[in-house]
Amino acid sequence: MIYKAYNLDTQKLLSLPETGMGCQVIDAFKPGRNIKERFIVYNAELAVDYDSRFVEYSNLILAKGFGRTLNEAEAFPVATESISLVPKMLIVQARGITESKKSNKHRYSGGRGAKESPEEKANGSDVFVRLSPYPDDHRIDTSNNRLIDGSYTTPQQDYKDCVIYKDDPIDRYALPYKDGETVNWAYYLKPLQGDIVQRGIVQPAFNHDGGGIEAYFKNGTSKNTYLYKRPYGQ
Amino acid sequence: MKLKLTDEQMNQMLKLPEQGMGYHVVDIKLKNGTVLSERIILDSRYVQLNQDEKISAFDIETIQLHQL
Repeated sequence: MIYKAYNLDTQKLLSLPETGMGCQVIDAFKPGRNIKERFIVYNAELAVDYDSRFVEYSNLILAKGFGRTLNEAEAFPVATESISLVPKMLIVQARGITESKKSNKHRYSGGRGAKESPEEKANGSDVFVRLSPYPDDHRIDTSNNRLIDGSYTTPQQDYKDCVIYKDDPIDRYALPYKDGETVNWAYYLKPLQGDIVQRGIVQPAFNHDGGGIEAYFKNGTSKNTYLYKRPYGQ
Repeated sequence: MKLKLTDEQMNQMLKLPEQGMGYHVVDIKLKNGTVLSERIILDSRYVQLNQDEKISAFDIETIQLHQL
């Protein structure tokens, strides 16, 4: 959809820096939703849903012109105080996963990240893997043998795909490593039945394509669910 | 270049939810008032610095998750 921002929204948007010339990428809550949605806002007043129909809306604006589109636009249905600018480094860039990466590396495109996905209960048999450069990853609580709250992993099958298809884990999981840092270790976890997990697709970020599967444990995993660690790829 | 946080700062980071596997995106306020915006902290302990930055963990006043 295409929306016209209320004056209050426009004032808030004008107080935030631009993402690019004349536009801002923002997240905000629509009424009744508990997950923020993403919008592109032009000139701090014309907002467009950043979803699968974004290109269609953009073409419509081009065809009609800015002024006419603004006059015909619906009111922007978001809570002003919830408007936040999306950091440039985290913007989903227009760099879709190539078909070859999808087919050769078993990656996925589109969808949404784990935190934006519904919660589910672990089944007690699935194994998850946390990748890390470090042999003593701090999000693994070795005194209780669990993953601590608010930590990410990937399902074991996706990790296997990454290894088997000789994929680059830094690009697949959009990791912000630099200075030669790389994935060295794989920590295996088997959450108990009922542990809360959210699964999603790694979104492009940090100039990486993403496309792997990510699994987020907002409450961590139960005690004694950490199995072992192994060098990456073994 | 990376900066290792103090134990106290690391413990603070461990209480915050990650934004991706193994990292946080944060805003760091230094004691001299400078704000380092949208910085990466790996594994709740290593801050990625730019090459010309010379900062100690003791220069840091606050670390907050960057609002996405």
